This record gives sequence, C-alpha cells and structure tokens, in this order.
Amino acid sequence: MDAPVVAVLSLKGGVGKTTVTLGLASAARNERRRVLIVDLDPQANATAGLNVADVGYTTSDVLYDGRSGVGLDAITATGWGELVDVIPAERALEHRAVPSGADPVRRLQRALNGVADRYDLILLDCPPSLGELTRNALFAATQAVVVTEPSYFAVQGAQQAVEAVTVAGREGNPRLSVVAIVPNRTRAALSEHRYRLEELRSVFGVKVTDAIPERTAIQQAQGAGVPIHDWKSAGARSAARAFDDLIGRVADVSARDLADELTTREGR
Amino acid sequence: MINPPPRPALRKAPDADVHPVAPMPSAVPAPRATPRPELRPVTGFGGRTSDTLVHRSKKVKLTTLEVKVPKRVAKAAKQKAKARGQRLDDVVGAALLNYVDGL
Repeated sequence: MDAPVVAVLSLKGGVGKTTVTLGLASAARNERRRVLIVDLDPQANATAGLNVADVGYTTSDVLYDGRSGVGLDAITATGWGELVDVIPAERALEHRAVPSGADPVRRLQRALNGVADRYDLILLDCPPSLGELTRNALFAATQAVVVTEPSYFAVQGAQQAVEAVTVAGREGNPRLSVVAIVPNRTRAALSEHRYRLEELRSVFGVKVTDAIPERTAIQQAQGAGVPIHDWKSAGARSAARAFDDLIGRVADVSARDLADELTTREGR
Repeated sequence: MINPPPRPALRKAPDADVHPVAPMPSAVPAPRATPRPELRPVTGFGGRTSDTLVHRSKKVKLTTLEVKVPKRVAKAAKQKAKARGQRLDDVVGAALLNYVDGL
C-alpha cells in the first residue's frame, strides 16, 4: 500500500508550516513509522530542523531533472534516525519556482514514482506562495493539510489555500482533498485567538483540528534539530500530544493496523 | 527476460550555485526577431516608409543587376539575410534605393 502523500501548505508565511511538518514527522516516528519529508521551501527550514549532516542532491535537482523515479537518488538520511528521511531543499530551489519543461506541474509527482511504497507517510513542506513549487506539491499529494494561526490575515490565507486545493483537485488531481485545517501558535488565554478559532470553525467546520499550542519548546527542539517527542519539558509534551492527535487524522493511521505492521517488521 | 538499462543518476542542477537574485542568462534564448513574411525591404519607388519595410508591390518590375563585390561581403550578406528571413535581392535593392535617394 502506497503511503499517503500529504502537502502541508498555507499561503501566508510564518504560520508554522514547517513546524507542523516536523511535528507530524515526529509523531509518526514516535509510532515507529517510516517518514519521508520533501522540503519544497527554498528557505530549507525543514532540512535544517531535521539535522541533516550532508546535503547532496536536493528538490531543486529533482525538479530540474524531472525523470520518473529520480527522487529516489535524492533521499537523504537525517539526524532523526533511520525512520525519517528527507529530500532536502536549498536556496537554488527558487529557480524551480517557474514552470519549465513538459507538463511542469507534474514533475514532482513523476520524480516520486517508486518512493511512496518505501514509506508509511510522505510530507511535502510547501513554500508560502502559490507558485510552481506549491502547484507541484498539490498535484503530487493525496491529502492537504492547511496550516493557519488565529489571526485575521491567516484565516484569509487558509481560505485561499483551500481554494487552491479545490482547483488542483478539479484540474487534474481528483484524489486530493483537505483533510485538516490546523490552527497553530495558539494561546488560549487571548480572546482574539479564541474569536478567530471560532471563526475558523464556523467557516470550515469539522476540518478544523484542535489547536497546536504556542510552546517555546517547539522552537528549542527545532533549534537543536531533534523531534519534539524527544525534547524533555512540559511544553514539549503538550505540543507532542497535539501532534499525536493530528497524525491520526491526516495520515489516516487508524485505518491501518499498526500492530500487524510492527509484527511484520520485527519478523524481517 | 531482459533487465531494463540502468537509469542515469541524478546530477546537480547547473544553476545550483547561482543565487536566486543574481542575474542569470535565460536557459532558453529569446527567439530572434524576424520580419513578418509579408514585409520586405522596398524594391521600388513609391512604397517606401521611414523604416523601408513595406508590402511588396506586385507592380514593381524586377531586373537583373550583375555587380562584383568582395567575396567576404557577399557571404556575410547572404548569411545575415538568411538568419533574418529576408531575401538577398530585397536587402540589396533596399540598400541601392537608399543610395540613389541619397539617404
């Protein structure tokens, strides 16, 4: 069974797409699942947060090449251990933000041929724009997670992201759907945040997940290049629980029998 | 059973070391501008415009003018006319017209 390919996106910068991507990867790793993160943001924050020792081939090279299955050559080990790999990003990925070559919107999908059956979850960390990189992600993905924060501009960005997913589904990727709208960086004590969360739920209903709390531990773990589940603090445990809740929703892990999988792997 | 040929490995993109804000020559050169097919250098009187490109008049009578020019000039003129999608007869005719008009 091929792994779900989850595009993590928002059209607004700074809402925590990479934080959610890394949090989901950490939660999946904590469940002994194999995860591949495809870093599609030229800022390469996910690559940095995964503590990659040596960046060789990147998503820029993969998208430039564009051949079927070539993404396999760019899979790189991370400091998070054997369960988490990455196709890293680099600054030059910005060059791929414009259409190039034949059927440019499906270059990533082609490049990832043969990759999905090696992992339990593939996460596409998108840049904060609707350029060619995000379009490639939306045509390669099977699910979309829209990240937002409880602010006026971010709610607008979430609406635009959902529209983008709808268009991508209509224009050639009918299996794609929004599985979660994740309010990130929330502080429950702020009335403005509570108001915006209610607003989100009134617009998007059950697709809005529980909020990811703003925790200093998240930044600390990212700075140290370790999964949030391995960071020892009360704040880290709180954030980790939120990502545990989220992983079941976005990767549909409940539909898969984890115990059987673990038994199979241990028997290899 | 035949094994598929090995797939060439991934290589670094040629622009990997180019900063995104640095000026970079386009990977695909812009196509050379060529005159529209119906536009030719003027070959007769009465149809001339300021840039000497007008529709060819069907009423113009053509004649053969045999001249000797340096081989290098003839070769370069042919190459240039071909690259621009022009006829050498039209190019020479336009040049002569400018000469006789004193331009």
